[in-house]
Order: sequence, then C-alpha cells, then structure tokens
Amino acid sequence: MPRNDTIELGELTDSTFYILLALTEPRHGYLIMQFVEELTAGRMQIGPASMYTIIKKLVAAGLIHPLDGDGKKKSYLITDAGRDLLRDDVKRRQAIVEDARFILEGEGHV
Amino acid sequence: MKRKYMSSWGLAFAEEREMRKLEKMAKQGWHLEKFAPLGYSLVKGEPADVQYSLDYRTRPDEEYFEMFASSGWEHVTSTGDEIHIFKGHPGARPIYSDRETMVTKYATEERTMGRAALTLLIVWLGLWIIMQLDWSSVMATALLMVHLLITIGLIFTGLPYLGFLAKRKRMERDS
Repeated sequence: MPRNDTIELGELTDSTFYILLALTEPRHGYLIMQFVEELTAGRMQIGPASMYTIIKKLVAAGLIHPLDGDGKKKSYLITDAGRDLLRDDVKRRQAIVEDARFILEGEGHV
Repeated sequence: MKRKYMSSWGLAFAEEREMRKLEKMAKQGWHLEKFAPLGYSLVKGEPADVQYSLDYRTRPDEEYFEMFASSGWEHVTSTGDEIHIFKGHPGARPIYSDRETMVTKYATEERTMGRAALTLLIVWLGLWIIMQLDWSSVMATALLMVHLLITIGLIFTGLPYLGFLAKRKRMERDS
C-alpha cells in the first residue's frame, strides 16, 4: 500500500537515519528524541507518533532490537544488520554531499 | 459539571478542522473530555491555550503513551482502543515530524475501511440479487430492512475510505 518503504529500498529517511545513529548506544524513546535534538542543535525534532512508528518498523525489519526492561520505557540497541545499513547510508549521503561540493565549490571548473 | 456536545463531520474529512475547533473551544473554557456518538463531549473549565492532535493506532502499548507524555503530549481520550487524542502546550512539537510516517497513519485507516467497505459492498450486491426473486410480502419487507442497514454500513465505511484515500494521494503528491 504505502509506497514509502524506504528501508526496503535500502535508503533511510532522515528521521530513521538519526534514530539508528542514536541507537548505537542503548536508549529509550524519549532519550532518542533528546539525543537527536541535541546532536542536530534542534534542527531535527522527532515527534512521538513518528518515533513510535519508526521504532516498530525498525524492530520488524531486524535493524534494532528491544533490550530487557520495563514496558513503559523500553530501550533499544542497533543490530549488526542495522549498523551495516547505517554505514551504507552514510556513504550514500557522503556521495551526495561530494557531488554538490564538486559543482558548488567550483572544482568542476578548474 | 457543565457539559456540551460538539458534533463531528467524520475524522476522515474534518480531522484538522475539528482539532482546531477543539482548540478554540478550550480557549473559551470548554475542554475535550471524551468521544461521544458522532462527536465529542466537552466539559467546562478554565480557559486554556492548548493544541490537540489525533493519532490512529490499534491497541498500543504503554510505551506508546509514555513517548507522548514525555514529549509534552497528555493523553486525553481514546475510542475503540484505536483512535487517540492528545493535548499539548502550544509549543509542543508536532506528533508527526515527517511525511513518511504521516502517510502510514492514513494508509492503515484506508486499508481497514477499504476492506470493510468491500465486504459490505459484496453482501449488498448479493442481497440485492436475492431481493429480485419472488418473496412473500413479509419476507420482502424483512429483506428490505436488512438491505437498508447494510446500505448505512456501506456509507459509513465507504465514505471514510474515500476520504483517507484522497488524503494519502494528496500527501504523496505534495512530497
């Protein structure tokens, strides 16, 4: 139905990217929100409904896994598969930035 | 306690409009208490500046409500363990922060309503064919009554289905 399953395309959305980054250390929902907000200096604020949706999706895809703990503040940690996907996406994003630099910073005209 | 009823035009069509209206009512001291048949029940209190947000989620766990609470969204009421309304300060972050997850919010509702409407449509057509046979007048009346009920059910699932479908299409076009 929704044609937005970017995880299956091997591409992460910005929110998913930052959530995976936050989960390189065990964190629960609200700590992930805070981590992302601080890391990006407030540029990226993830809402609770988006957070819950993405966490469920990442667990289902085997990219993160829940740690033992009480049900209210469940912590998660990235899996090996999640880490691989994150690294691939960093490369993809890096390539985009390099393309842009090549054009905007004039290397193309030297 | 003083209460007031506010009618709803159907969440598939008027969700945003009705959340803004609830905010206006809260400014006048009428606060959302719970869902009521085809609308909302409001209760009188102090005027307050708040925002309301609605989410669809089937049988969510404690963690769900905890994520809302810790980011400044107080759970107000739910219906059918499926539709939930939250109240936040005017500055609280939006509950959906990206388009991808917001699309899934409506896509799930669209699928549920679509399935229900399709089932009812098949029954509606089947019954209509049966009604073309020769029946005693008592039986014909009974069939007509059942058909009428199914028609109502079809309207209450078919219209929301079309509403959610249009909403998702609009979002996908805008992205």
